[in-house]
This record gives sequence, structure tokens and C-alpha cells, in this order.
Amino acid sequence: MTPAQLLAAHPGVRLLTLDLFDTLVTRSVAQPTHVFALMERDLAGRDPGKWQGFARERVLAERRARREAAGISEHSDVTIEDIVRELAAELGLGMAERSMLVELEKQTEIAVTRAVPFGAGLVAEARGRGLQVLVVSDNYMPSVHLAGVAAAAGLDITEADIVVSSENGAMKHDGSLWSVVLARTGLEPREILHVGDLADADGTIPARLGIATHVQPAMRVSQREPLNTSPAILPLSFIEAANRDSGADAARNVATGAFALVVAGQVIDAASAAREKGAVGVHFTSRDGWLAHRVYGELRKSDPGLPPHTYTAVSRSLVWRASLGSLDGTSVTRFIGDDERLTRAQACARLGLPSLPHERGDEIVDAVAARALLLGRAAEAEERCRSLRAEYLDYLAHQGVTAPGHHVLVDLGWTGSVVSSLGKMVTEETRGAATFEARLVGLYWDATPHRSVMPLHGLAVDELCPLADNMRLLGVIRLFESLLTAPHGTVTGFRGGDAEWSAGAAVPGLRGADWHEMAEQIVETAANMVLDRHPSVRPAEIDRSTVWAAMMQLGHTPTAREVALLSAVRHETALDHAGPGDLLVAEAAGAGPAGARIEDTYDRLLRHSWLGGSLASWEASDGCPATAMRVREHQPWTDPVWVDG
Amino acid sequence: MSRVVIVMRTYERPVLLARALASVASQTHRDRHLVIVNNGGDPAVVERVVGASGLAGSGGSHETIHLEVRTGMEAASNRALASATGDYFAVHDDDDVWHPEFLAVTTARLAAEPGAAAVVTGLTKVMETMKGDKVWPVREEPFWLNEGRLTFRGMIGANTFPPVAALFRSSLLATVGMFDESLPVLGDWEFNVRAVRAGRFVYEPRVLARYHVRTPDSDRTVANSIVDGESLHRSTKLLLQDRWLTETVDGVNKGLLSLQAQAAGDAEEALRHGGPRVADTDIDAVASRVVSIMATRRLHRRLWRGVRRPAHGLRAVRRMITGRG
Repeated sequence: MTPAQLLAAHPGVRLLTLDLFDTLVTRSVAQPTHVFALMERDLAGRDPGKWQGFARERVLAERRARREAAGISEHSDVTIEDIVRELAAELGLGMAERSMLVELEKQTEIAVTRAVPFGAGLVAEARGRGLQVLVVSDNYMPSVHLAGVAAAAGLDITEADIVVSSENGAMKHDGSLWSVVLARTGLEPREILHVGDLADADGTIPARLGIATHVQPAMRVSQREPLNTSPAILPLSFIEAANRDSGADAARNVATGAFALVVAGQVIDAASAAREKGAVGVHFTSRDGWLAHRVYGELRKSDPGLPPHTYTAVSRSLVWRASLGSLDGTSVTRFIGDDERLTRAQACARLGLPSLPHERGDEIVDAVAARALLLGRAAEAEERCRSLRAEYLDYLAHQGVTAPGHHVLVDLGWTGSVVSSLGKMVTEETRGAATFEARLVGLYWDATPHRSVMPLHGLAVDELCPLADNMRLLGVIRLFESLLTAPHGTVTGFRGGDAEWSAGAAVPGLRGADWHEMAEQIVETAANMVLDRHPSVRPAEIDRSTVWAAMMQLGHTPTAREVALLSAVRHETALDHAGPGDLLVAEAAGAGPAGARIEDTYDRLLRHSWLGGSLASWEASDGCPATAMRVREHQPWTDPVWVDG
Repeated sequence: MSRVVIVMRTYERPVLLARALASVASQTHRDRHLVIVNNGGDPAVVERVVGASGLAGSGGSHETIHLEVRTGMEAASNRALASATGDYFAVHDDDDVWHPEFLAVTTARLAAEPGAAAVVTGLTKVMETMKGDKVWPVREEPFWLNEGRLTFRGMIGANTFPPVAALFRSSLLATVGMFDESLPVLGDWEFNVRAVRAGRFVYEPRVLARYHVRTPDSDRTVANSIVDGESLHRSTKLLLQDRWLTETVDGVNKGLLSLQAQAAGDAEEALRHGGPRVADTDIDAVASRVVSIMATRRLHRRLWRGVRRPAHGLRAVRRMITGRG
């Protein structure tokens, strides 16, 4: 609906009232609390130790001030001075610092303000029709400042055009501010059209008074958990704000936002390590190195001094088979998990063995029987693995992975098992002439034993980080693995030096979007980032904290439209990549039967699903919010707040 | 940039050593020299882990000392400190972990506070289980630390922080001496008590260190000395307190101070955990013990003085009779 159409639909209206933020003006950050992250970044430049965590404290101070105000009067809103007083008490600030913070917040707000085209068009259209225009806002700032904000956005709104809660002892949220508006204008409610972004404060509440309303929530699509605010969030925040302003859909926002930042991070980190160590090769491994290897190629065109790169086919099952010395009671457990039930043919295929006619290949057996079956054919399995190793080493030599010197292996993560097995095999084969280090996006505690094989570097997080972050990583692993992938299936073997790919579907099935298009957007955006051509993100800003923030904002606190987009994606978890895989967003039935132990529900969710997306999905669906709430109570790290105090 | 010498003692815990080496390799402060003391373990294993650690390309330098015969922890530390020089030193146990900014922040704090002998950061206690080569965290909790617990009186009653949280000024070693090699455990505590007399310990509240403790169901070979050798810790503490009973600090008996502080610390700990105030009784008992020991010692001093100088002795007896003593 255009502004003209909206006004034409309300012919009897004499006054147009508008909410201010996210209706008439917006910010160049994704959500209001990210303004405090900008302030923290500014303050950190003055004294980093003192102001660390300021943004989060600023949000908490406002909450405390509001609770305090609610105790005095149910209708009174807080002022910026009330909030800063609370902040001062918490941080031990003097009067000079309090004044400085008030001024800094006002300046920062003005600096990031942008007009919302629809709101600005509506004001112009209304004035053109001779209607009076008022801004009606619940805000802790005074009207003189809000007029300045509007002016910064190029809008002709004066102090007299603004009715704000902080100056009137009344609020829009409970409807009391409307009596101020009616008294000031002398109009009847039916003569007013109000436009805002909140369903209750701008919709149902004024409508109850007889005011015509129009709710336009488009500017809220980029908002997530308010407490998650810190300078590390800013690169993603700027991108998501720009996507919101341009009306980008969820797929584009995900691709050009969090995923592009992760891929750019992979490339910047790998290039930095390669330069510093004088590496002779950078090898993007597994399917989730595919997009990054393309971006590295773009970077290398502009910097030919970087070592050459490859996309090197490897998979868990391949490298484990190729590294197998002898098959015994211990090594067989690597190929058949304790809780697995699979056909005899599947069990044999895990070690590249054909199923024998007398083995009843389609009969399903448990782990004990499957392991016994493989151990019974140990000599044959070992021979096949030796042969595979020889073919694979030929392939690696062709790729340059066995060349003398230091090599950087790049992968998403998460235990370092595959890359360390690969590196160990080649180092042994070359008698130490080729050495390796792995650069991974994330590592959790299972990585620890692999550190005694080769250096592992976790770009965003590693097991040296707090337990809660290790858990949060586990919660998002399947999301990133599923989407940051190659368009082909996993590598299963080699014939004549060429990789053989599994026949399973490789490209994620998105709901209403095309993965190939998303993948191109990821590569293009990440390349712009690493080549310093991106409009809002500089390469130097892409580091451990900003990549982690991007992963957490999308993975831990997804929006409803992101969950809807990704709810059809399946994640392949089986070692042999057989079967359709598990849905990324666990279906409501994933909560288990009624009365299921919450521990079991949580365990299933963590092992097989994208935890953040699943919980968000359950919270939005009928019948499941209680289960989601119980999971969050059972494991506090699942709380949406991931920026810790 | 200030040079830091890092002491890391290890004995046959290659997986934990690999993690600890990663912690050092990830430090953003690069003017550092790591001395790994292989305290009697298999040299080949340690060399393999060090070789795979990535230390070589991480900016700092490192060396490994292989001790053929396993020695005490403090002797191992002294051996490392004797082999390298720097402005500051730290003892990083082979099972603990630093935040990448640990050295950057702590060196900056000591540079900004020339009167300080050491800086101790906030830390997290991590309970972890280890079986075979698998290690996984079970729970975490903040480690109770504040400025007060880093004063002489705060530290004399108990060891208030593990080594991984501290960075020391190297000049301390010349002032107060090296680690006491006669102590099988608690050598860090004994050193801290001496060191804090030479200069203030400043507290950096940012949580920059992780102190790992294995749960009781872990493999015994990887247990912490404080868990596995609890009775050794207790007896060494008594030994130290006995030793301190013969020493004075500013005219006050060091051993008695330790006993008093221990009781007060126990009471504070009980209050923090909301437990019953049973420690109050202990305070009274310890206070009585302190008063009686002080009185006895005072009487001994007077008697000795009286024997040496009879005139003083007579005056003292008169004061006691008239109640002015």
C-alpha cells in the first residue's frame, strides 16, 4: 500500500499521527540496542577496560529504570536521565561521565538516523492534503532531541509536532498518551489515523479508543534479542539494517549477512596464517570448504603473493578408512557407533566391503553384530583400506598436498578429527617433509586430543572458551554445515585418481528459496568483504568476535522468517551418508511423546538438530512452547541471551 | 613490549599438555619465552606434542628441559626460571588455560603499576572429566577472588588462587628468593606469601584464566594434586604454619596470623555458601588458642629477659603483681 492509497482509504481523517522510530525514522543498525554497541565502541577507544560490556549494561539500566518508574506511576515513562542514573549506580560513574553519556547517546542516535521512505512519504502526502501531522512516541528522550533526530533524517518535524511519553507522564503502551493528543488537538478519535510498527501500542490500543490505525512492521524484521549487544555485533548489524531497508528477503539476508561473514572469516584467517607461516599451499577441505575456496581464489587474484589453493576432497569416512592400520576391537568402533542399527550391507560398505550373498545384506543388525561382521572380514577390509590409501595419496600428490613445506587446511570444524587424520597421514607418508595446521571456524572440547597431532585454530570459538560457548557452538553446527556446502555429494572413494561422490542429494532443500542463488550471494558478498569492497564491513573488522557474533545472531537467535526458510533443510549425519538425513528444525514431534523426559528431548535436539531454530519454531507453534520453555530451564545456556555479562 | 617467561611443568599428560600449549600459542602478547619442564616423563612424547603444537609459528620462543629424574614441582619451576630471563614470569600449569589476552592485559597492568609485585586476574574453575584421551567439561563456576584475598592477610590463611591466574615481576626472585624446593605441594602459596611482602598484588577483574580440575571419576593419572593429594596438601599446610610460628611479620607471629586468617576465611566461606555458621565455634577456639600461645610466649620472653637482666625481671614481677603488666 502506498502513502496515497492509505490516506485515500481514510477520507474523514484530519490528523495523521505517526510513531517515530521504525515508522518515520530508522537506524543504520539492525535494532535499537545496537546503538549502545556503537557507543561502547566509541568509549572503548577512550578506556577499553572501563567500558567493556557497556552496551549490555545500558540495556539493563533501562530495564531497572522502567521497573522503578512503574512502581511510582503506572503511566509514567522514564527519561534518559533516569536511565543514566541507574547506569551510574552500577558502573560507579560521576556527574561528568553521566553528562558525557547522555550527550554521546544523543549524538550517536542522530548519527545513525535514516528516514523510512514509507513514513516520510506519508508525512509529505498528508501535508499535501492539508492534514495536521503529529509524532506520538513512547520514548525516554525529550521532544527537542527527537526533533533533532527527525531533522537528521531530513524530515521537517519540529518540537511542537511531537508528543512524547517522557514529557507527558503518560504512555502510548497503555493508551494514556492519547488523551494528551486529543486534548492538544481538540479532535475526536474518529478524525485521527495512526501509523506505527507495534501491533498493540500502535494498533489494538488506539483502535480501542476509536482511532483508525495502520500497523507497518517492516522495520522490525531485523530485530532480535535486545540484550545481545556488543561492538562485535556491529558488522552483521549494519548488513542486516541495509537488508531491512532494501526489503531483502530472509534468504538474501542470511546469505549476505551471517553466512558471508563466516566465509569471509575463513578466508581472511587462512590467508593471514598462510602469509605468516610462509605456507606452500592452502587447502579447503570437505564440502564446507567449497564456498570459501572460491572466495580465496578471488582474493588471490588481487594478491598473487598468496600461496596457491585447492579444493581437496576429503570426508570423515574416507580419511578414517585411508588411515586404518589394523581393524580390531578398538578401531572398529570408529566405523560403527554404539547406538547404531543398520543393515549388514551398510555395515560392510562403511569399510568399502561388498556384501556377501550369505550375509543377508538387507537384514538390520545392532552395533555389536555389525562390528563382529566387520571383524570377521578384517583382513579383506584392511587390504581395501590400504588400496584406498594409495589411491588417495596419489590424489593428494596431484593436489600438491604432499609437497614439502607447510600447508594450511581449512574446514568449518568441529573436532578437528578429519583434518588431523589427513595431516597425520601425509606427514607420515612424507616423513615430515609436509607439515600442517588446521584453521577451523569452531572447535569444541572433542578437539582436545587432536591438538597433540597438529595445531588446530578455532577462528570464532574453541574448547579453551567457556563451556556455555562450547554448548552454543554445538547448537548451531548443523545449520552452518548444511548451508555452507558444495553442490556435490560427499566423497566416498577414488577411481583412476578421480573422486567418487555419493549419490545422495547434496544441495539443501530450502523453503521458497534457491540454494544456488544463496551460494552465489554468499561468495559475492564474502569476496567484497575480503577485497575491501563491501559498503559497510572492512576486512579488519572480521575477526574472532565478529564471526562468532554473526554465528550466534543467526544460529542462536533466529527470526521467525529465518526459521521458516530453513525448516525444510535436512542434515546428513550418517557416516555413510545414507538416508534422507535429519530435519534441521526438529518437528514438534521431535519433542518426543507426551511425558518424555526433558533430558531426552534436549539430548535428541542437540544431537540431531539446529537447536536455536528448533526452539524458536516450537515457541511459535501451538502446543510446543511449554516444551521449549522446559528445555531452556533445563539448560540455561539455551537462553536467547548469548552476550554474557 | 615486555618479555614474559612462562614456566610449564608437565608429567605424562600429553593431551592436557597439548591444550595448554595451544593456550600459550594463542596469546596476542608475543614477547614471551615458554620453558616446558618435562618432569621425568617420556621425552619423545613431550617432543611430539610440542612439535605438533604450533608454538613455533606463534610469535614467541620456547625451549624444553627434560629432567631424567622426576623432581618436585618447585624444583622444576626453579630450573625453568634459572634458564631464562624476562621482565615478568608466570607459571602456567599443563592442564590450565589462558584467555588469548591474558598476557597482553596483565603485562599492561604491571607496566602501569610499578609498585605492584604481581597481577592476578579473575578466573573460572572448570570441572572436567578425563578418560583415556577424551576430556570434557562438566561444569564451571566463578573462582572466588577479590582485592582483599590478594593482600598478605588475605593470603596468609590459605592459598587463594591457582598459579595460572597470576603474572609476577621477575625482580621478585632476587628480592624474596626462588620457590621453596622442600615443599611437595603449596610451593606457590608459600612463594606468594613472601612475594606480597615485597609488593602489592593487584587484582584484574576480567576473567582471563581457566583453572581445570578433574572430577573424581576421571582417570587417576590425570588427577590434580589438590584433589588427588588432599592429605598431602593438609599436612604441608600444617608444616608451613608450624614453620611460620617461628617467624614474625611486623612484630606479629606469622604462624598465628595464618591460623587466625584461616579461621576467618573458613567462616567467610561458610557464609558465602549459606551454610551453618559452625565456623564461629572454630573462630572462638582458634582465638583462645592464639591468646594462650601469645601469653605463653610473652611470659617466656619476660622470664628470659629476667634471667639475663635481673633488675628488669624484678620490675616485671612488680608490674604483674600491681596489675599493670
